[in-house]
Amino acid sequence: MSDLRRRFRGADEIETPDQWPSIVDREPGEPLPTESHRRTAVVLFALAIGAAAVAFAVHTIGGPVPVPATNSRSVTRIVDDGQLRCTATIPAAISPAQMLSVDLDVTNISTQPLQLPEGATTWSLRVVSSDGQTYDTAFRARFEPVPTLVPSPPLLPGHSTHTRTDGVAVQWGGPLTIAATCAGDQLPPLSVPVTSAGQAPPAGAAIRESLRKTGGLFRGCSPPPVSGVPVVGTIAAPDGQAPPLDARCEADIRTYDGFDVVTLSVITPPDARFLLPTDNVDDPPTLPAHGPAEGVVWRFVVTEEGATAVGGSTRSQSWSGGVAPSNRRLVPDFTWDGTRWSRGLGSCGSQLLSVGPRVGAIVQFISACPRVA
Amino acid sequence: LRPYLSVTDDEAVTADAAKLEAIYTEQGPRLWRSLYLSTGDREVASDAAAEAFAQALRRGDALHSPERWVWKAAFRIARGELAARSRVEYKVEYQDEAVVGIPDETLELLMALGQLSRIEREAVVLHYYADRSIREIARITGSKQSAVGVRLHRAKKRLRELMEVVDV
Repeated sequence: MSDLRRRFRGADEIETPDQWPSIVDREPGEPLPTESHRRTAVVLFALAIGAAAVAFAVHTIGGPVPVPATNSRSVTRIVDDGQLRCTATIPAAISPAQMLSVDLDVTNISTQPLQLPEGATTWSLRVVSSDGQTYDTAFRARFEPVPTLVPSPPLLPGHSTHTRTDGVAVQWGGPLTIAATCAGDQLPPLSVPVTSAGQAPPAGAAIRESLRKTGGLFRGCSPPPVSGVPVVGTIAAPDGQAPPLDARCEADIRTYDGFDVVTLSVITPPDARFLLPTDNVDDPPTLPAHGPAEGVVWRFVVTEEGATAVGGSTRSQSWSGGVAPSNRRLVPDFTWDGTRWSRGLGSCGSQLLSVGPRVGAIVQFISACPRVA
Repeated sequence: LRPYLSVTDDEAVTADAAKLEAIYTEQGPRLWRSLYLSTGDREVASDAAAEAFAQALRRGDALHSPERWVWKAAFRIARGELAARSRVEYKVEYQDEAVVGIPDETLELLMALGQLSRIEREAVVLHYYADRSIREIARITGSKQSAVGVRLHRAKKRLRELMEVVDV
């Protein structure tokens, strides 16, 4: 990669603001005024990349809700040469589609103040379902690790810090085996049952109910109410202002005690061959190395009371068309927030990456990009 | 984990405004662009750079090496700003105002950069754009040198793959 420095040298052409006058007048801790012009146009490219722990927070609109930890179970381990006590606490039972996270407490049981190193209170959560599916929140670090901003103050003897792990909506049959790490040590696993009051809806009804929650996205590409049977159709832009996408759409279903898990997917072009995520749909698909393609995955938990979006991801890449940067064509994308679609813009030749968990899908209409210059 | 110690630097030199302004004149644009390339966000780059210099000004003679301190502080502040933006996904947007006129091959590199994880982006930007050594990158990012080396290796490999993708 000897040309990396040469390519980077071109970045010297990027204009920079003269900040010195504002720096001299600035009180530390005071944010700069928002640049009023920055939202005028997104011409080069828009990447939706995966997010930090906070960024993984799930919209509550129509989505999973936190579980009150009234009845709980916990596990404790002494780590760091006997200096710290780590306690992990989870709810005693959890329902499908509810948010699962682990409360973690770190207590300094030594006789001196301890400076916790970066990452000491950054936790990951690993869930293994009864049928062997695995979801490890650590995958999110591939997209956006969240190191501590500044060193935390020293932890005094007898004092504790409290953290809650990233959450994930329950989308597996129980009992779930849950493991968290503390200061680099894995705590003994905890087990939690998944309880659902009613019966799991029939597969066809569950798929139809999930499709009903997609804002009409699948209207022209509606998979049959049978698991694993693809259909070829078109995905229309919600505002009709972009050419439709030719796509292959499919619904897959897993049935557990009292609920179904329906995974809807869109692949374009219809004959594209690439793998979609199965266990963890929040980890985006891997696209072919060449050519325009897009994969959208959207997962729902369906109980007798209806469907709830619990996760999903998108990855797309479009033709650049070979046009000069200043003339790049725009490519629209649409995001569903549970109630409506909102339009965004990227540019042709870009890649879009959206990492879950989220309640809505993002679809980029790469059909708007020219195939040739 | 180590016991907390309060360290006093007896050899601290004064970082008065004139000296810091000279550092800003020489390093400011490169720091800002490095932050922008790493975060993809003009606002975050501007805020992190300004905040780091403003804090350096207030610390005055407490800083042994203001230049080194500013780079480290700016990258940490940028990380914190990104983490504080609670949203489902990050939209890294390279606006037209910022990149119009830059060479196509650089533009393609920027697109590919967006596909790296942030720590990989930081490493590759600091090494290949800001000309920082692995040791310096480790200091700025608060990482081990071995970890920086691994990130650079992975980033180069990934960029090699992605350059083909963006050339579609």
